[in-house]
Amino acid sequence: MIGRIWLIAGREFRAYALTASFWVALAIGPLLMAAALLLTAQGPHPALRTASLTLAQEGAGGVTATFSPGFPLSAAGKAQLVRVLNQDGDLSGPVRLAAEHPKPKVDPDVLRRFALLVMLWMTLTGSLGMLLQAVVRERSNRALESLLAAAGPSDIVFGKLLGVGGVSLLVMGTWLGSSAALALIAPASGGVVASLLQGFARPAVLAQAVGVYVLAFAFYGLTTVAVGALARDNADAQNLARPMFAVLLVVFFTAMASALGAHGMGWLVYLPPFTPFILLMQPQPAGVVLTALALLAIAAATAAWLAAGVLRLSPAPSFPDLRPWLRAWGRARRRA
Amino acid sequence: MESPATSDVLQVRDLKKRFRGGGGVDAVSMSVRAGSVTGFIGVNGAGKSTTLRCILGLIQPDAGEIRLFGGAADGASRRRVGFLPEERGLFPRERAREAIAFHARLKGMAKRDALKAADRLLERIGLAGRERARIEELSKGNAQRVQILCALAHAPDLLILDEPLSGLDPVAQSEILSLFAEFRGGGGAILFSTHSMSAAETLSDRVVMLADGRTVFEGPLADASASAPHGAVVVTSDAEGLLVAARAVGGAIQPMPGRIGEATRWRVVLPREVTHPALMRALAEGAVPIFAFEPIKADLEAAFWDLAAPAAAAARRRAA
Repeated sequence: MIGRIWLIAGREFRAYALTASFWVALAIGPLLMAAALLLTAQGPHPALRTASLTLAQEGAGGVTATFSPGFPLSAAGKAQLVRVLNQDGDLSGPVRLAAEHPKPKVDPDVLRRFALLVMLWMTLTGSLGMLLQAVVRERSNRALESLLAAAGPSDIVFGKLLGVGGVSLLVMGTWLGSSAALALIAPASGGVVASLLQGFARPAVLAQAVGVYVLAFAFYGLTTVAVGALARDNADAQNLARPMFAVLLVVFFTAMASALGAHGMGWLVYLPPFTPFILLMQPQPAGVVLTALALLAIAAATAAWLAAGVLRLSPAPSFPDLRPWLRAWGRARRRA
Repeated sequence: MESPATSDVLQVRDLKKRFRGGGGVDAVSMSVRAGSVTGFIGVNGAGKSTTLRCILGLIQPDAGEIRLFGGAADGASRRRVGFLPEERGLFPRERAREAIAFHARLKGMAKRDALKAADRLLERIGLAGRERARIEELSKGNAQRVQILCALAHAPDLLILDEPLSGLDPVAQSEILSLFAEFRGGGGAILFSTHSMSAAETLSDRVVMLADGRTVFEGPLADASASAPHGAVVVTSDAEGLLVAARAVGGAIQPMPGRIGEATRWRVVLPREVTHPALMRALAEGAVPIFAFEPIKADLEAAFWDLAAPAAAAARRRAA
């Protein structure tokens, strides 16, 4: 069985990876990242900044001096300037330095998580599209029967998952690897993109990203195979997959909100579609992680079982065809 | 119906499979002997594909027994079977050689042997220079040939073919037939389904006839032809006169579909010893108007009509 799974996986991998268009598309991401790094990089001397000092008349005859954020003077320098204005300035009253508002700081860790989320989400949705096509292709090419006569439905499900998963990991690895490589060669004070990339130079961050991606692909991939197995053709597949992609969109925005510190979202980690992304955006205690992963594994196994069962049915089943099958599943669950 | 022989590579007993909304098989029993070519004959919807899919494990039967190579039909025994489905299709982007080797490897063949087998078979059917061609670059006929090679590449002991010659031009048909003859010469058995009586007569030495989901005949081709009724197709507007004439020579009449103006087509079944001229004399004596008179040839088609048509007609009546 393992041999057949690898055989099917290899065929799927070659179907996508052995094309010139795939490698061109793969190279575009790192190239864009490098270009962004170059464009936002700062030289050794910071560029001249626009800065201002505003003097505002106060009601009681005094004057308030307000320095714009980033004004190129230290606190002592600013105080000195106020003193000079008081001594020599032709002003209608004493000058008082206005209290400075602290500059809002962006947490680089939150930025890195955002970047990872976008990277993972984009790669995942693209790969799920490939996987959906890979499943529907067999039915629409009328090749499913000869494949099923030689390999079991589970072989086909896991073969396709591994094959497209391999392509997907190659894409993800290229993104993460090029981010890490650029982080190593870019100076730490080299601009916004460079400071964003610094987080990717940490092996722990890369390992976590790959782990979360594998989990997300396993769950959503198996669900996609089940959806693809239900479809009779491409149009059918697109319609059936739409709710899943809508869920993915909700998950994306929820994960973003969670990273920004939105409250009351912790429980979402237990919902399999949310689990990988919430784990990425909000570090959780070990007990919570283990429970959430167990639930995710159960959901993925159910999707795999469903996919293998539906794939065997030819022609693709309609919903009434699935009714007795779902009843049998319910009975099995009750027995368990 | 024959009793199972020890040399049977496939035995099916009382197979039953019903689908929601109708269709399926009710009582199919058959066997395929080693080194034989068995034609599996039936009209569309008789249950041929359902039976083949049960044999291959693509669907689970509701009841009945399937034995392959003397043991239970399981994954190991099914790997000794090559299958060509009625719905042909390969991955269009795959190269011909890789597609053949891929199917052979799925059936357990080593990579090197699978590629060698693919090269040998492609050369055998005259596609030696096109092993690197993608399926989408091949003509429809060549793509079909490649698919047949996918079923043959792992050197199976039993080849199951669902309508193997449909869609092939006469040249491709003859090449494929010679491939099948070669396979059989090597000791392999073939079970092929068809609704073409001429294909069955050309290819097979044994036949299994299916009607309304049931086996109505199983045995050597010669026995099937010998069981064909003797008689004639008569077109007349005087059904009563025809009945009297047929009875006068010990025969019987059966209506056939299709009217010609006021005339109706009838099949007159005669006892073996009664000749066609004797029937014609009886018709002339009764002054029965005859629009057409066509002696029935005692061949497989006649046998099929005799054995399978009543069951198929009964099924149609039930459905109506």
